[in-house]
Amino acid sequence: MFCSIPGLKLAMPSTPRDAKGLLKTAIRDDDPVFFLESQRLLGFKDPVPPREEEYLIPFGQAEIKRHGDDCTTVALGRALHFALEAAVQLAADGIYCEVIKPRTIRPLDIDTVVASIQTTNYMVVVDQRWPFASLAAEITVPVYERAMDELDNKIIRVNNDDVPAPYAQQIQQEMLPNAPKICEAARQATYA
Amino acid sequence: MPIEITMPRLSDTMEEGTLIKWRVRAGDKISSGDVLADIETDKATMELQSYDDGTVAQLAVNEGETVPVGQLILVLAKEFESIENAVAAFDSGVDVGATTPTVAEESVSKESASATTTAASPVQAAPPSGAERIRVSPVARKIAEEHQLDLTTVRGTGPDGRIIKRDVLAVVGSAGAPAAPSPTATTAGVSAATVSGGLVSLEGKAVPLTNMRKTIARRLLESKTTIPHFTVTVSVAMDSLLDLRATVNAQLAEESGSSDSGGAASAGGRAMKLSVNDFVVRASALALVQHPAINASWTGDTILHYGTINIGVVVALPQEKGGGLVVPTIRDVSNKSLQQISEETRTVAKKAREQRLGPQEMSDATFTVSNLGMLGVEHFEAIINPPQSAILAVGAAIETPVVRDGQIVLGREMTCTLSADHRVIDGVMAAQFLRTLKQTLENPAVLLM
Repeated sequence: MFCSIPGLKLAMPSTPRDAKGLLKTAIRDDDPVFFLESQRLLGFKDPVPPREEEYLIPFGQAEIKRHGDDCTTVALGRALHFALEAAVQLAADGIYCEVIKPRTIRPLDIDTVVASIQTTNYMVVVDQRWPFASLAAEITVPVYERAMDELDNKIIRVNNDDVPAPYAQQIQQEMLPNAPKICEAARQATYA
Repeated sequence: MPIEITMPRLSDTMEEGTLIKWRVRAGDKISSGDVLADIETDKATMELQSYDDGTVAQLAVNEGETVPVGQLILVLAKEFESIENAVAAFDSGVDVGATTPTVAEESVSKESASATTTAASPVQAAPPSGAERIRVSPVARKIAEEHQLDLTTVRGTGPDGRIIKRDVLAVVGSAGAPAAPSPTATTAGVSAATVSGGLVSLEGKAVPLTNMRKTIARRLLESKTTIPHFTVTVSVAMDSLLDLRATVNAQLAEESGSSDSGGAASAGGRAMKLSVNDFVVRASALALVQHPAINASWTGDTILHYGTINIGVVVALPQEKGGGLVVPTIRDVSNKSLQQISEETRTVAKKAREQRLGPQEMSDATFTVSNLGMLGVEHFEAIINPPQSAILAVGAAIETPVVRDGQIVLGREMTCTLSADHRVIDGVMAAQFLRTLKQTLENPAVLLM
């Protein structure tokens, strides 16, 4: 809901390295930046370049976390980890996903996604939000606009189930866009 | 869309209702507020009223039947909808009860007759089945277009018979194979036949027309049937030119070898070799300067003498890519040096073979040169490209006995055949042009200036 505001930038890190690089860029940026961190990811540990090494992650630059030729998977925020998990499972079946994390929603790097689709022709978007008017929808539309001729099937979105968030932990995990759901989506997309 | 009327929840605790009595019949026109049926709930018997206008298409539940809340009990066709379609859409297949059929049928047929006559034909509720529309994914369509593949010949394995990438690739993969190896296959077949005496079998097939082939067919048919062609041939002694060419090319190779001189010729250190055709193109331009009536066009009521000399160079496309030819244009040839012509021809021919030429690069030629010399052809006649009036067909420079100064010596002779539009060019004009061309080619130093 914050993304619609013109002029407001929105960053969504998935890893500690993203978080540090994007935060620095956000601070140095003169424009207001919404820095969205997933609560569940706050405890996640991952390598970060040493303190002496100064690095910035520019906005509007997506990162390809895993290369593959069969299906382009775009995953936002925490969903990246589900997507990577799914990619490992799918690789065992011979479906190699190219997993892309946009890192910033405004500005959004669609070019990287479009370039990937030139090779794979299939796309799955994973977003830990309810389906209606989710960010996944906002990523899907520009891809249809720019790369319609490169698609062999419609773009499949994996979101939370369209139910209010359950209170019980276990059920809550079930409604999220978890790895089995992403695997199913990728299989559907690639006519596997 | 027809309206579904379902068993309503007439009280909070109601789970199911019994349809006691229908108050309407199939075919009845009803308005909002009309009573449709008497329904017994757990508490009382109530009337079910209609909220919509329409015609009763079908009663989906029998009198006396008990159905759960939410189940379909009546199908209502809206204004202008045909009843058959509404019924077909829901197809509950329920018999409307013994007492009603004859009456209902009459009224149904009466109503449906009037309904269909009033209904406009495009308002069919069900879309035409067996649609001729082919379902294709965007990338499959793109690949099919690239390979000039007819989609009606492809079997779709996607949902609803959608043609997807793998279906198109399957066809392309199998069809692609014959195109390339066929020249070698037939030659292998022939040689095998002569050696082993086995049968040669051809591959009979219908090759679909590419867009290029269609265009070539159309334009050349138009040319040959509307332009009165005649041809004039001269034989040119090419010895001087070939020697000159060898000298110049050697020099260019040297220059690029010592590349710090970095002449315009060797961008990146590659020697730019001049081809015989480059010389012919330049010579044609110089000859056209002297004979502007050849560089002209028939417009119907005038003969337009062009203000520049743009020469189209025929480039044959590789057989593996479907063959065919394109004619890129070298503009303003009379003001370009031999080297410029050579570089430009090379660039544009490469683009042509990769089928990357833009329409701009293929238009506005005032004269065309077609060369089959590289294939050893002695002589041929080309077809004029309208709206031009002439085209020059160049053969190979062939070593042959010739008469010079009363002696028979060996010389390298090349034929140049001009095909000309007799509405614009007369025999003498063509002959004079060729004489100038021949003189230029036989005294080639002027081409270097």
